[in-house]
Order: sequence, then C-alpha cells, then structure tokens
Amino acid sequence: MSSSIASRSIGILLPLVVSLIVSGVVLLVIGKNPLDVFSLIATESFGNARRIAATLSAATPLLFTAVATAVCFRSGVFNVGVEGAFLVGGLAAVFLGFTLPAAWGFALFPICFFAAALIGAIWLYVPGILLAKFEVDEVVSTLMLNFIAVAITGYLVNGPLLSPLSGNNVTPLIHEVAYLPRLMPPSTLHAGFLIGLVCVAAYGFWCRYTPAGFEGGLIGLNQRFSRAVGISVPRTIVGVMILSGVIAGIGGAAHGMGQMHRFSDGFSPGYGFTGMAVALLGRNHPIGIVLGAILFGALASAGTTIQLFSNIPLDLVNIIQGTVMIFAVVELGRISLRRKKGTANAG
Amino acid sequence: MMTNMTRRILQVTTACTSLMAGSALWADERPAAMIIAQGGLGDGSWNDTANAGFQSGLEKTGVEGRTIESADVAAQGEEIMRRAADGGFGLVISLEWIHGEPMEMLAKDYPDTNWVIMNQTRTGDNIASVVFGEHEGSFLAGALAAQVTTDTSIEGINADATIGVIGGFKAPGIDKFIVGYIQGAKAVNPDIEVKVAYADSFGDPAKGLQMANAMFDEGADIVYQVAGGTGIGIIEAAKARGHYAIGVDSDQDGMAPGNVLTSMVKRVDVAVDEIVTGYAADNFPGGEVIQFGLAENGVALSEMTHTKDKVPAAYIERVTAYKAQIIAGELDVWDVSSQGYPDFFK
Amino acid sequence: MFPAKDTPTSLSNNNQERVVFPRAPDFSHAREAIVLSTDRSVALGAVDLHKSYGATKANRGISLSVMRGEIHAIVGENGAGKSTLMRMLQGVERPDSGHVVIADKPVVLNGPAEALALSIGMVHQEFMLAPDLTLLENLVLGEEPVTRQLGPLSRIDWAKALREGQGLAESIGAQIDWQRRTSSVPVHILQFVEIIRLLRRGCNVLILDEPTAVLAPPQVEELFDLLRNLRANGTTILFISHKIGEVMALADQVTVIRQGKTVFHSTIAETTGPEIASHIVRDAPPLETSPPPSRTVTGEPVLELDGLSARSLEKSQSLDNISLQVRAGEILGIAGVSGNGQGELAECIAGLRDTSAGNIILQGADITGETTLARRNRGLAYVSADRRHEGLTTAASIETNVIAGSHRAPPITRGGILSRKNLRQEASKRLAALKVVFGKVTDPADSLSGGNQQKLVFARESADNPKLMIASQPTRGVDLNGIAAIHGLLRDFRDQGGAVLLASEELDELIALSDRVVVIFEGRLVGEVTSPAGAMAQIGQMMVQGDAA
Repeated sequence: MSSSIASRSIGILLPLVVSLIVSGVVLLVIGKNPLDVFSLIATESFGNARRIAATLSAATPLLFTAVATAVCFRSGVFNVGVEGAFLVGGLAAVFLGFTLPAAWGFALFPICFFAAALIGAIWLYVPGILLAKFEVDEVVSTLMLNFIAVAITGYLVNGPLLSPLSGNNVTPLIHEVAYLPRLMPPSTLHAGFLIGLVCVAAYGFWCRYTPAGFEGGLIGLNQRFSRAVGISVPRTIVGVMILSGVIAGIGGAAHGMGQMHRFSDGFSPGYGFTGMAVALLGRNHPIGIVLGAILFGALASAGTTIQLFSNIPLDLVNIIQGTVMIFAVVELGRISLRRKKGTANAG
Repeated sequence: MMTNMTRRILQVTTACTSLMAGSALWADERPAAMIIAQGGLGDGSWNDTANAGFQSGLEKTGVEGRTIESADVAAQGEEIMRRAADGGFGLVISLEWIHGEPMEMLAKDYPDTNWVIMNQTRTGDNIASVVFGEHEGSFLAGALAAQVTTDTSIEGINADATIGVIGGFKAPGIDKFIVGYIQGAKAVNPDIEVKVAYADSFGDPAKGLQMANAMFDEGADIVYQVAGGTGIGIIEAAKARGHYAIGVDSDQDGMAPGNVLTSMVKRVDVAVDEIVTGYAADNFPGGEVIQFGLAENGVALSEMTHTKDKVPAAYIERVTAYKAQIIAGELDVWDVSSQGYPDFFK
Repeated sequence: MFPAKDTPTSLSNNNQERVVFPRAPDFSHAREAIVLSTDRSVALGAVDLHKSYGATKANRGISLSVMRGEIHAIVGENGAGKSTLMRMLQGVERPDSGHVVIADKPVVLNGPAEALALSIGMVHQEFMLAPDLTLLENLVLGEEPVTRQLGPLSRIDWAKALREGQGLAESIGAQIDWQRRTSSVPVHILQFVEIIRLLRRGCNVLILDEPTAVLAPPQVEELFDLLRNLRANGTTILFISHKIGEVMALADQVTVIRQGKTVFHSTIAETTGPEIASHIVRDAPPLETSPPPSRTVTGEPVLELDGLSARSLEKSQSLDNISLQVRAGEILGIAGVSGNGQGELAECIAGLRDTSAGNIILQGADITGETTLARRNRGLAYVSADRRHEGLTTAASIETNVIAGSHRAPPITRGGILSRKNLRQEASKRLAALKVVFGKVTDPADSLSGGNQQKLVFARESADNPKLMIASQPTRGVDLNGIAAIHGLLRDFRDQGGAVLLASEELDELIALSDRVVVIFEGRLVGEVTSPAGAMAQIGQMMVQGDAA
C-alpha cells in the first residue's frame, strides 16, 4: 500500500516537475528569476494556515468533480458531462436554498443536497441509458449535455431566477441558515471540503468493498470478460453514470451553499474539466485524487494572488496548469486506446 | 519545520516588498489592486475600459498598482480581496458585481484598506460605491430619439412619433434607464409613444431580435436596448430592417455601423481614474455613493461616428443643451434606484 | 563495432554466472558453431544468445545454425524462449550478449528493417496485411513499382505489380487471385501472400512463427508443399512450431529450446518424434494419445440445441439450424476450421451472442432468452477461446480473475459489503484446488504462463459445481504440461457426470477427449462421428469440404 502511495505521488510529482521546468524556461525568457516566482507560488499556496485554507477552498469543487469523473473513467465510461451535472445540481440546491422558507433551518441542508443529487443523477442517467441501450457514444452525448446545462442555467439566472436586486446575472442569495459553515474563518474554506473528502473516501470504499465497485473496475478493464462472467455491462454503465451524477450534483450543492451562496454566470469556471485532469493525474485513485485536487487548487489560488506581488501574468500559471494537464491527457490517450482496443476485441 | 516555514514567509515577504519598492512613491502610498470581472482583460468592453482608467490613474499619480485576473473570479473573489488586504494594498477595486457582499464583510475586517465596488451600493466607511447616472445618459438618448423619430428625411425613419425600449428584466436597476429614456423623449415631444418591453433575459439574442422586430412592426423606428446580450439581437434586427437601435454600456455603434443611432456609454474608465487619483491625494470617498453622471462625465452618448452625418446638427445641439441643463441642476432626471417609480411609469 | 558489453566488467552487474567464465570478445564461438555444423554456409544463425527482461532470463545460451537451402525447425514449449529468439534474429531486440549470424557473418541488427535489408523476412502469426486493400495492393504496399520516378508524382504501375505477383506465385506453386479483397480471402492464402511479399522484397531467409496454428489439416498440407517448393528454389526457412508431427514431416533439421537454452539439435533423419518430445519437456507426463475406450454414455441430456440459428454480425459466422445434445458424462467435440462458427456457437450457448431462431435447453429449462448470469446460475461454465481477452482480464489481479462472477455471492459479499478477506481466502482455495502456479494473488493475471492462465480459468469456471462446461480451444497456447493438466480436468469433470461441449481446432485433442464429434462448416453441422478414434481423415475432410464425400 505504501509503495502504491509512493508511486502515485510520483505520478503527480513528475508532471509537476516537468511543468515547472517548462514554465521556468518561459520565465527566464521573459527575464524573471524562476526560483523567486516558484517560491512565491509555494508561499502563496501553502505559506501559512490562511493560504493553505485558500488552497483547500479552491480544491474543494475539484474533489467532487474528480471523483465523479473517476467513477466513470475507472469503469471505462468516458463521461465528460460532470461539468453539466455540477451546474444543474448547484442551481437546484441554490434555488431551493432561497425559495424554501428560511424557517426550515437546518432541514434545508438535506433537502438541498438531496435535490442536487437527484437532479445530477437524472442528468447523467440520460447519457448512461443512451450508451447502455443504444450505444450512443457517451463522449458526444455528455459533451452536448454540458452545453445544454450551460444554456439552461444561463437562461434561468438571466431570466426567471434573476435576483430582482441585480442588473447582473445572479440569483438571489440563499438563506443565511443554509450557508455551509466555514471551517477556518475568515477563510472561505467551508464544510463542503469535508463533504468532498467523505465523497473521496466513499469512492475508495465503493471501489474496493462493494460488488458494484468491483464490477465497475472490471468493465473498465475488460467488457468482454465481464459479460462472460455474468456481469451486466449496461446496468453497470447506467449505475456508474448515476453515481457520477449524484457526486457532481452534491459538489454543485456544496459549491453553491458553501462558497457562492447563490448561482451566477461563472458558477463553475470548468471545474468539471479540471476534475477530469485531476482524476487522470490521480489515476482514479482516492489518494491521487486528493493530491491532484490540492495541486490544481494551489495553482488556482496562488496563481491569482501572485499577481498581487509580482507582475507575473495569469498566463504563466496557465502554462504550468497546461503542462500538468498534458500529462493527464497522456493518460487520457491510454484510456482511449484501451477503448479502441476493447471495441476491436468486441468486434 | 515551523521555523523553516516562517523563515520562508519572511524571505518572500521581503522579496515582495523589494518588488514593490521599485516605485519611489511606495513609501507614501500603499499600492492599489483592481480585480478584473468575469470575461477577463481583452473583453473590449467593461474590463478593458476600466483598466484604461486604472492605468492612466496610476500613471498620473505614481501609485503602484496591479490588476488581478482569475479564471475562477466568481468563487475566489473573497480570498483574492482578503489576500490583497493582507498583502498591504491600500486600495482594492473590484469590477466583479458578485464581489459586493464579500467586500462589505471584508471592509469591516480591514478598516485601513479602501474598497471600491461598482454598480451597487455597499455600506461601510471605507467602501466607495460607484454608481453611474444611467438615467441621465438615457435621458439624452430619449431626447435624441424623440427628435429623430419623426424626421422622415432620415433614411429608415417613419412619420410615427413612436420609439421603443427593451429591458432585460423588470427590475429597478433596468427601469432606471427606461424611465430616464422616457423622460427625455417626453421632454422633446410630450405626445410621443414609448413602447416598453422586457425580454426576461440578458442572454437571449434571438428573443431580442424577435421583440425588436415586433416593435418595428408596430411603427417604432428606434429601439433602445437595455438588455445585455439580448441586445445583440436588437441591434441585429435594426440592421436587418434598416431601422435604428441605441446601444448601451459601451460604445456599440460599430456593431451595426449606421443602424446604431448612438450608445449610452458608461465611462467606467473615468470613474476608476478619478477613484485612483482621489486615493493618491488622500481624498478617498470612503462611505460614499459616488454618482458618475453627466457632470462627472461618467455617462455620455457615444461619438456617433457612423450616424452624425445623418442626424441634423440641430438635434444634437438640443441634446447638448439638455446635458448642460442637467449638469447645471436646472433639469432633474428621475432616478428609479433612489427615488422609486414616478407617476408616469408604474 | 561490437558492443563493449561482452567484456566481463560490464557483465558483472547483471549476471554473476558469466563473470565466472570471462571470455574475450572475439568470434571464436561463432566460427566454432559454424564449423561444427556442416561445411555448407549458414544463412541465419545465433551464437550463445543471452537476453534478460528484468529478473527474467528469457534466453540464456541459444546457438543455432540454419543452413542455406534447408528447412530448420525450432521447437519448444510456450515460454521456452522461442519468441525472444525470434525478436533478436529479426532485430527487434538486441541480445545482452552473443551474436546473430547472417550469411556467415556476425551482425548487429538495429531493427527489422536492417534484417530485411539482409534478406531476412518474418511471417508473423498475425498477418500484417491491410484488410480493406486487395491482395495486389497489399503485395506492393510500401514498395510500389512505378511507371517513372517522379517522386511524389510517381504513378504506380499496376500491370507490373500484377506480373511480379503472378510470377512469384507461380514459382512456388501457389494460385492467387490478386484482385480479391484481403478480408475475403482464407487464412492460408493470406499466409502465401505474406510469403510472396517477402520474396518480392528479396528475402531468401524466411522465419515462420507457428504458421499452422490457424490452418485446417488440408491447408497445412498445401502450406507444406509450398514451403518445399520454396526450399527447392533455394530459400532457407526457419520454422517455429510445437507440433512434433509437423516438424517430422517437413523439416531437415531440428533444434529444441528449453528454458531459454538450446538443448538438442539433430537432422530429422537421425532422430525420432519421441526423442524430440523428450527434449522439449523433460518431465512431461506422457500425453494420452491413444483414443479413449469406447464408452456408452447413458446420462440425462444436459444441453439440447434445437434448430439454433444466429445472424452474422460484424463479419462473424452466422449459425444455421444447429441441433445437438450433450449428455451428462459426455464430452461432445465440435470440429471445424477456424472461423466456421464454433466460437459463435459457444457464445450463443453462453448468452454472449443473440440467437435468431431455435432454442437452447439446459437441464430441461429453455434458457434461450436468459442473461449470461441466469445461465451461469443454472450451472453453465464457459471457457472462452479468447483467453487473453474474454477468459481473463490480464491487467486485473489473479484473485479478481478467479473470483469474478462469484463476487456477489456469500461469503464474499454479505449485506452488500464485499469482504476482501473472504475473497482472498476463496481465491486461494480455488487456485490451490487446481494447482495454479503463481507469485502473489495480487499479481496481474498477465504474470502467469499460458497454462497457468488457463488453469485459472478452469479454477473459476469449475468452482460453482457447473453441470455443463463449454470449453472453446481450451489448450490453445498452452504448454505440454498444461495441456495434460487441462485434459485431465476435462476428463475428471466428465467422469463425475458433467457434460462438456468441447470446441477445438486441434483434431488430435478432439479425438483424444471426445465421446462423439460433430463437424461444423460455415455455420452448419455437416456430420457426426460417433467413434472418433481413427476417424481423423474423415473429420478433416468434412471440416474442409462440408461433407463426408
């Protein structure tokens, strides 16, 4: 186990080191001292308790989207629709958070989270059933559903759910009683981070200690084999899609009730896609996912605040992120290769 | 371990300080930070205009300043602003609407920092809320439209004294524009009919196109768009039908040259520039709601690059006269956001 | 020119054994090998090749001399080191020490292209032909004859290509319709095209890797005739096989490899089949080659197929009106040339392929519409022909592979929670029962030898007391030890009252195991042999021609 942790850490560290080298060269070219910049990034990410909290806060939505992605990728289902489920789940939770009576108090938490999970589940059930029953390519269907999610939520916050107090594209704030508590005030790090960790742990448990998780892993490795030993591949596919939708929806709810306290344009700046990179980097392993989410959280939070202390453009952080993602995509390529091979074998 | 980390923090803090020390004025004035709203720099509109004002303000005053962009500006706003305050910035401006509530909270935690928010009113002794006199600018747009709409010598204009306005949403923030527009139109022609409609969306160009066409069908030939992205459809409709739209917020005249009569421009550059200048002069308007109206050059009609040759100079002169009256305080334009709804518009 | 690796110092890191006997980096061994063999020239050879992959010593001293104009057979079990040797002879891998010899000279090969340039060509088990091109297009692919050299503007001279193809085919006595689409051509013809393609590129030494594995007996004869013609034309052939009968029938010389070493070499004239076999595997139990005593099977029917038909999907063979019965205590063999529907039939019974008509009855219950899971719960076991892709998940752990399918049943899963401890216990029990040799239960199934992989499959499939076992190509790619063990398993299962449907392309195996044999041809059953012993010729004929005439 410990060696697997070590190898997973290397799996994350190696791309990081390479991306640091690449961005170091870029920095030299634009006449900056890379060591100064990197140490600035390090302090801005982890320099003190407050910065660590900011990093974890930025990592929080990624925990959910990465787990939601990993559930599917591990099972060989190429679901890229976590972004959409995160959006619709978040909007559902926020909507109930400001329309239900504030007097309901803490009861709002389970209600909002349940609604978000349900909407997320329905959202991804659709491409799941399309794939399982009609072999509609899930990459295409989930990608399209993302556009639909952006359009629907965009319409709602620009129209029916627009805050009457605002000229901008935001809903009203949810009731204060429905705010998830902050863990280290004044930092925005909120209880959603813990819920995210619970999701990661539950995912780890699901993989190893449930028959459904066992089957998911098997169909991810070899569908023909799974079929031959009596596993229903369609049912497993639909199952992991629903699970993915539940987690993504809960993630949207946590983001809405813990961080934003409302829904707005830009509610998710692509957490679903960054979550994909995290899942790929972490090789779908729970520990890898936590490390990957923290890495991307650090880049997001430090990448912004270093602009306060040096005239490093956001682009540099994007270069670091991008290089790390390239490695994640290498892994993506391996998965899609396996898909192709799997199809060829099935034929 | 701990001491190691502490040392590292010290090192970096020193490094930061030395980075800042490049400016001779550092000792006098703490630096300024401006957080770029969603859309980022390069949007050719709100953020870029504000940044132009920010840079010119910094240049004039010698204040050190940074613009902060983030891919996740909505969720991370509070952390960014807190970090700026922690990091010793004396002035923190946010262009992002959604940062209003967290800023109100942060302003209490950081009383020595000066905070600026746009397009909304936030309370706090150290917060300056910048609002624009959109009603005043809209008044001028209405006055111009009312004159043009009956001049059939202008291409695309019919004889009906009918103009229109389409809002994104029925809300005080939008009706502020609409009421000013109506008031301006009626000042020119008390009998004019101003058709009002709401798209119930800021992001639906197709709907904007449809609604503008409907207004054109009913005899309107000039439609003022107060509907964000929906307005793109309104301008499209004007272009397709050969009628006129009036743009909003930024100079939209170029979106359909010749078919955008004028644009009611919010000069956020002027606002930011003045805020920075005031800050440098120890004259920060903390706790105030600063109106950037016609007098402050915070709102204006566009240059009318593509239409000024079509419109008789007399009309523009009359508009300029109204502007002078408003600035002089001889003419009051109704402000829905502070006065509520007037009798003529419920 | 030659790698400094040969010096003792650099070897000391990875191979203690060789440090003890340091030797100068000269070619005395090469000369010795050549001189020892005969006085004729060596077309392709190897001198004391060593190659390790990590801790695994795949080759540890292989020497070989293939004389020009001869057919030389290399035999050995799976895992004896044949494929590693091939890779080095072909230049895909470089030996850790030792040399490859081509045309009497030691050479260092940096890739297959260099081997090809030295006239060495390899016919792989999986053909390297593009399925959507015609045979002629495949023949010239990569080296097209052109009308005039105009660089990228050159036009292919198809007439010339056809002349070349026809000429070469004629010279080795093959008849080939060059305009046919590759995917529509029988395998043995594809093999011929591969060979002609190499000849066209100037190869005079051909390496054939188990070329008969995919062929029916009459096709094997055709191939052998062609190879003999090639030899008569002066081509040298290195023939890899594990079938002693074929070696005796075809080769001039034979070299046996065991555990990465050359252990025996002889001309065919001076040796016998049993002698070769004794070198291939020192401790193999004698295979029961004599047919079983004629038994009368009286058990109840376990499996009945009644008019079973299935449509062709994605180039698979359709099935047409298949009716048969397998009784308890009976092994029913299905003979057929690869691709005639035996795999599809097995899949239909296992519930992995849709049927279009007819019924499948298992122990009196019609299971035609049931899921694979329901069938397995009724006592169906399925040993897939495609062990590496359907029989196993090679990337998954051994324990996962041996438990999959039973993972929802207690004691492994109770109350929705899967117990890793019980899973491991049950896995170990199953693996021990079938004496599967493995490292750790968490190792990937890929780490097992072919025979042990197949034993693992049997360990899984026989764990839940099945009534019917569908065994499709159960010994494909399994070494002799493994074959004996698997045959034993099938017989034991039968003797304990189980019913077996055995599909195999190895006629010897079918005849040795089956109580009855039915022959499948183009998706139809074309004949039945009730006492298979001695009916090899009859079965072979039906396999190829579809009738017993």
